[in-house]
Amino acid sequence: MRRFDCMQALAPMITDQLVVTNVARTGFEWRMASQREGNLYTMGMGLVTPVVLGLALSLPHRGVIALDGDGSILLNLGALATVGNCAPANFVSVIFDNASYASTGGLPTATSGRTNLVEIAKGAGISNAVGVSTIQEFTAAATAALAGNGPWVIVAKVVAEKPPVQPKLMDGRENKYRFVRYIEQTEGRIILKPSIVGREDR
Amino acid sequence: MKQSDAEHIGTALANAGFNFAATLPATQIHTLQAWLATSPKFTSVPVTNEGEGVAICAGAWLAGKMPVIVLETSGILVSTYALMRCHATFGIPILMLSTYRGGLGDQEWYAVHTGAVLPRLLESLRIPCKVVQSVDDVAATFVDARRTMDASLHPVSIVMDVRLTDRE
Repeated sequence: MRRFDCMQALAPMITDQLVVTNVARTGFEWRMASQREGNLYTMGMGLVTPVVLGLALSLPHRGVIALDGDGSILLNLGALATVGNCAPANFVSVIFDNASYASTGGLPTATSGRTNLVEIAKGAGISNAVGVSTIQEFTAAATAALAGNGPWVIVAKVVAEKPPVQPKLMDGRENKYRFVRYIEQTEGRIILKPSIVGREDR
Repeated sequence: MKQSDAEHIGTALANAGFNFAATLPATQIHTLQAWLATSPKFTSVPVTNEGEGVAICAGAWLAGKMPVIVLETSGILVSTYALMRCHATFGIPILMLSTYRGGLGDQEWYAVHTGAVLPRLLESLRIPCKVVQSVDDVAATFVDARRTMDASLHPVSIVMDVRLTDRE
């Protein structure tokens, strides 16, 4: 199974969910599969899942999705324990597990050995943790996860590859502004307050 | 920290607009962290390390919350990667309300070096910092911090001196 095939299956399921992606090709590929203002690309290694947890706890009525990777989540496994204990029903994490640091030379991650991320997630208290290895399994798991009753962790076993990608032509700051403006518009709240002049909520 | 000081500081945080807190227990401020955990004015998240905590706060800010992480001095060292790779890179603010282990007057041998590097560490991270020594100063300082956070979209640090955290 290829990561991009999973993304192409996931993209049509997205409505108003907020999506945060891992670094490198995960972000590039998701932008190729789904261009929308509710995407925040290229969050740092180990930071995707906790950032999405913060979104989930702050917008409990809204679906949020982490597109994470095995190397990234292994950098910050404690985040899964916090997800398990906070247990937000609107939280979905897809961990694309290619058992390697594919974007930085292809050396193996711990999941190429004895480490099992599904069992780690379950042990962290996330009962809806599933492993998938075919597009049919991925589509079924994603459909169930987007229906709610989270938190969900879907560990998608994918091949290690570096497919050609299109350039994003947008840095993280522009992406952040557009993402926040999208939340402001869809949630009816003001987040950016660069000046107090004229404000009553000083 | 005295219970009455914890309640005063927690209330001042809420009055300044803060409403989301990440915490990892620390000796000098556990009363404040416990107060935040039960206050209806805060969404409070107990975390497993401070780097995770500041990243959770980043997500909360993106969603419209005003986040604070309440942490011990060494937690600032733990959180530096997340502060730079997430907050500084994307332009996301957070208030870091910390102790000052190893500050002048703290007689704990294991904290000395952490305290010695803290000012220059924050300076090198380009994080503005104010050290507060009196509980009477926190309310105005929290308002100042929020305004700077809104304007700079960058982390802000308030360090509580041992005269505040350790007074009986």
